[in-house]
Amino acid sequence: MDSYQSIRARLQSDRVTKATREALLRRLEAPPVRAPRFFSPQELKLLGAVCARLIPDSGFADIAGQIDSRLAEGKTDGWRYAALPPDGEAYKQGLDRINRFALEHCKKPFIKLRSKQQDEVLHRARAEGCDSQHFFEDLLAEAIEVYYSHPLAQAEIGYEGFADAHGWFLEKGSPPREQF
Amino acid sequence: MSAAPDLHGHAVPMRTFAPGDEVDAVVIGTGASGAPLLARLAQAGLKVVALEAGPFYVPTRDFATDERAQSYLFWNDERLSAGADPIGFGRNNSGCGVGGSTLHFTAYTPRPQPDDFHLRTEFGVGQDWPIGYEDLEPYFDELETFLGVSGPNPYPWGPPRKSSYPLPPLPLNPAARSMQKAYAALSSSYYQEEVGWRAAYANRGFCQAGCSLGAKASMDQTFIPLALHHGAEVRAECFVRGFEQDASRRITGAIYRRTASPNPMRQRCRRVFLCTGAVETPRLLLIMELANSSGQVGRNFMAHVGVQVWGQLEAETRPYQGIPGGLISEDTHRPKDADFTRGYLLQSLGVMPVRYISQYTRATGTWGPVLKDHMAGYNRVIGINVLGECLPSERNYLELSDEKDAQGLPKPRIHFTAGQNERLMRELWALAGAEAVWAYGRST
Repeated sequence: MDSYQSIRARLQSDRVTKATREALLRRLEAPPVRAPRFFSPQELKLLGAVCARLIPDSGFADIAGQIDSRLAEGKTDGWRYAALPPDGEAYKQGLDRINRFALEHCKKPFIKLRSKQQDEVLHRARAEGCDSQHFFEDLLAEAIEVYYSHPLAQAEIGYEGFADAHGWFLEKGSPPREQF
Repeated sequence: MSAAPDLHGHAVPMRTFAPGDEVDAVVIGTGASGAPLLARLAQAGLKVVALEAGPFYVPTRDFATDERAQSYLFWNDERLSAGADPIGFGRNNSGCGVGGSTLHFTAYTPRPQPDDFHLRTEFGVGQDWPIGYEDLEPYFDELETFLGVSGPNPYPWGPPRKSSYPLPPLPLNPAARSMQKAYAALSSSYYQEEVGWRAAYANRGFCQAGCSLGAKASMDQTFIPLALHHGAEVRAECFVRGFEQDASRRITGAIYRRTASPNPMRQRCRRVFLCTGAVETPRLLLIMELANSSGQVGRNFMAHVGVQVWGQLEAETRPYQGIPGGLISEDTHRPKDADFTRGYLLQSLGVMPVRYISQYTRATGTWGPVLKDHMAGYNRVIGINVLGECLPSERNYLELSDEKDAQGLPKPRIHFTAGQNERLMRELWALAGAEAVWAYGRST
């Protein structure tokens, strides 16, 4: 995986427009959320543990913190399933349901379980019912969107679309790597 | 006089009116319907003001090549999606900003074909339009030339065209880099009478996150400058929340609120054009209890039925490069032996990374290490989109919910359930893509 420094250097090259550079550097350098503004500290921890199972090795993207910030700011993506309550409430209820599953079936809170048990709980929570499936779908979609918006995650997959200053010339065969 | 920004942030003079002036017309919304109308009214010498909920943007300065940063272009006020096939709004529909949803549209402007206007005559379902292709043809000709639409000449489907596409097809597989450089420099900039030189396309596949080059004929780069040139005012960051009416309920003004200002404002006017799309237009009419003696406002909500089929090749494709819907086929406009009404259109697809993986998780529910393994193949993705229209149905409608938005207005709830016809289309398409990695079906 490319290092933080090399991504930073790429973003600062003249291959990247100012608007793109500013958006991505802000994201790259954002400190993780320590004091949640929407969730309780326990809920934030639980959400972090869930996201760590949904997307392995995703700690650097602070997915739970980003979700907390969005909900605290009252932002939405323009729609939600009418069957679900407003996003914040859906998150709190969904997290509570996951934790109750953990207590019921494994006798421990979710964050105290081993990874394998956590995965089992998530599979089970997802299969529980229609509303819960919508919640799981929304959670997974938001988590993965936050993750692959992060420059380090984009580097993992060799994505270079942020090098936007000069456009791209399509040609036959595979597109060439960017020269930073 | 005031000023509006152009593509590079330079000030363009703009005539302004006082809220107390009675203008000939207020146009609400500056998207694909409001902006051309605004320009036509101004060209006719009328006093016109457009009220737009979002701000003016300066694409070359403001637009990042990044999906998350650009999500402000979408209409993000929450809509409630109900029915058996809930519609995903947000990034898929309305836009917010001068230019409306054309700020994030995929720069894709196919014409309907003549038989699309006579569905009841041909199939005994839906309704015939009261106008025909020949009524609209002069407008298609005019619009394609004004916008600078790219396409092949002759166009292989439908009746012969009276006017050719003014620009050649965008490059798909050009033979050599050197040839293409020359090609792009020579033929892709476009001169527009009373608008000026418009920017060339540079194979930046981020149409849906806003074009930082201003190269996709969005309204802010085409009809809005034309309207300003002819004396229209575009008042940005003004959210219309109602109308002022006289004793006989005739509209005498539009009531709006400026962003971050608590006080409602009023623009006096003789006429109002509501150009705010299939959700906000019926929503405002229902809130104001206007124009609904038929009870039809918000009824028969229609969507595009689509299935995207995705696969990954061995060689790199870099699916963020090039216009996403680069190649189309209308060979299936009226497929033989189909057991459904009408046909569909096929479109090749590129895709931005976050949109790709977000759809993948919604379609497949994949999580854990397998999810990251899948995304490791992003640079090798190719897609095909099957695009059809749905029939009107009583089951599909918009209503006001009891839930209020931040402005205290009721949120809209939209019910959508695909009919038998749409289901048959989707089943056929899913079969066609059976060998592909995965398919994503959603109405937008």
